[in-house]
Amino acid sequence: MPSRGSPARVAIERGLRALSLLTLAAAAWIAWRPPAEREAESAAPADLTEALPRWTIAPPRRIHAALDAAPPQESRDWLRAIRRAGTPVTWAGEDIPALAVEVAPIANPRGGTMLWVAAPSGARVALADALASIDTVVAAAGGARVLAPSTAGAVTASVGAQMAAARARDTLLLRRVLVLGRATWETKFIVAALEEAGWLVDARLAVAPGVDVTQGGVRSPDTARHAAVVVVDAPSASTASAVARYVRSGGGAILSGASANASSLADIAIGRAGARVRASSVAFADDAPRRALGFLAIAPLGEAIVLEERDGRVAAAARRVEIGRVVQLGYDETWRWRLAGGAGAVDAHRTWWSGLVSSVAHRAAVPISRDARDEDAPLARLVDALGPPSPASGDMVARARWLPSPALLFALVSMLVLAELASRRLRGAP
Amino acid sequence: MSEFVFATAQYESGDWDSAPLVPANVIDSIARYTSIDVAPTGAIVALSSRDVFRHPLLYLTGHLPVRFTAAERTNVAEFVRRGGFLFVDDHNHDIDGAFHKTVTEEIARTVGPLVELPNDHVLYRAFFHFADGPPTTSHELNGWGDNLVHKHLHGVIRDGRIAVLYSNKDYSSEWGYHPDNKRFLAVDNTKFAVNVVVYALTR
Repeated sequence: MPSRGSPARVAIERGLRALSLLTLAAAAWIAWRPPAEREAESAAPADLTEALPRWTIAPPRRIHAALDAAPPQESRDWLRAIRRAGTPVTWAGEDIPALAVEVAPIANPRGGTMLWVAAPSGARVALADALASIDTVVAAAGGARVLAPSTAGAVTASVGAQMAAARARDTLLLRRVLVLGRATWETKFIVAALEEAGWLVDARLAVAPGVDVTQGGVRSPDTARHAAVVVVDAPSASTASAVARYVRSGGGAILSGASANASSLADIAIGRAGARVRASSVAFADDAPRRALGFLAIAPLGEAIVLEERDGRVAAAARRVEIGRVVQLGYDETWRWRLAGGAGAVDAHRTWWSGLVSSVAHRAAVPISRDARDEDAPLARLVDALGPPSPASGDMVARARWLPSPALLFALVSMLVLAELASRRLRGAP
Repeated sequence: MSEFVFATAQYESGDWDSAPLVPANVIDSIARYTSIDVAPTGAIVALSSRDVFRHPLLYLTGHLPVRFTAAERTNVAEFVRRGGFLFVDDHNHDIDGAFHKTVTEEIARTVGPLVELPNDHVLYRAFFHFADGPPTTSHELNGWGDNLVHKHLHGVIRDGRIAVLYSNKDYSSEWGYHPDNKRFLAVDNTKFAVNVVVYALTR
């Protein structure tokens, strides 16, 4: 027989039931309320990790992220997903440095890696790899570059709290260098310098009509075999045509002295080698050794880039020819620098010639795996994901309004129902 | 573009100018057989001067003992280090003469030890082919000197190439005549000089 409880007890039980229903209603409202009814929200960097799940479950009307560093890839992609789901997302971050790093292997037999860094001018950029710190440089004119003998793993560039990371995306197959010319001291010492620098050198040096001294047994340049060709004297028409074809196929060429005046090389030459400019110093100074060399002044045509000039006359210039590269030198007696220069002349001559060949070398790249998590340009990727920065609008609330979690509401409903049920059972009611 | 200049080394000891007709004869052969731009006259370069470094090939000969001065020794060592080619010929054609003993000592002390060149060395194929190695000289065959045929030349090897070529076959006597007289020879005996120059220019 059902017991009759006191009116107060019954009232409490009814109150508990009403609270249970209200809590259930609140949970349903939180779960299914329309986004348009939410306020716009803003989050500071520290709150972003906590805010992202909440914004996903209950998107506000608009989201604004105030950042002091570009967020990690996961957060950035999450924000982009929220935006693509229909919630406008803006961001601001005036203090985020525009930082990027690129890691590129050098076309040189000695190896080496060039680290290219983009950073605000004057910023101190700390470079490191997986093993240790590499260097610290100050960005000038928006960037800096550092030559590293080798790197391990990802290379990071840091400015303050912002970090960019990248690793070499491919490696190089370095091929041989072909030297074409007559038997002269210039060709001899170019070959010597390149071999000393580690290049494998083919050569075809004319010593008499129809008689060549060859090294490597190859007569014409070929992108499958050669990284670059050095033409020291005016070649025969057939050889010049082969060099021109080679360059248009992606090969690199260095045209030295009067070789560029060959009619068959006119299409790839940078300009005509004209009058000889006399040496402007007698001795080879360590800081400007080539001032003691005469050269044939180059008259550059078109879009050539001047690499070296003296008193307004061009001694070296470069240009692209379709997918190939050409450097033209007015110098034709660099061997004198090696022989008669200062104590470091042999090294300097070798390094200069090897660098020239590296600059034009055909680069057969072999892609290597790349870690997609590397953030080589965090700010650029943020702009790519969310668009350019914009200030927060006036209706933004600095912190999200507190809303109970579903688990908390479930626990509350459970306690209320259990309390009512227990009260009813204890007094014998069904 | 500079032309090839045949340079004779002038050293303070001994008789550096013992073979004054050799340069003209070698120059004649270079011009006669090759397309190498060659200066019509040779040069004389003091081994103790910086002019050494204007001529990557130097010819050194003599009869008398050779003792380099400190400056000459320094220059010769640096000349070879930078890639120069030193051609030394014993004008005595003997095996144990004063020039031979002293100059080989100086070379060993200044540049490095001389080694015997195999007779199939690329030097003997650099332009003309000498299947048996270095061509013999008339002085080796007519009983003058030590009555020996020297079967090999010697060299100091740097980075796989000859840096110093040493001969005691007395090419300085063999090539020491006026170039006009080549017409009286059945076979031009200066052809090996062309090989030496072409080797120096291409290796």
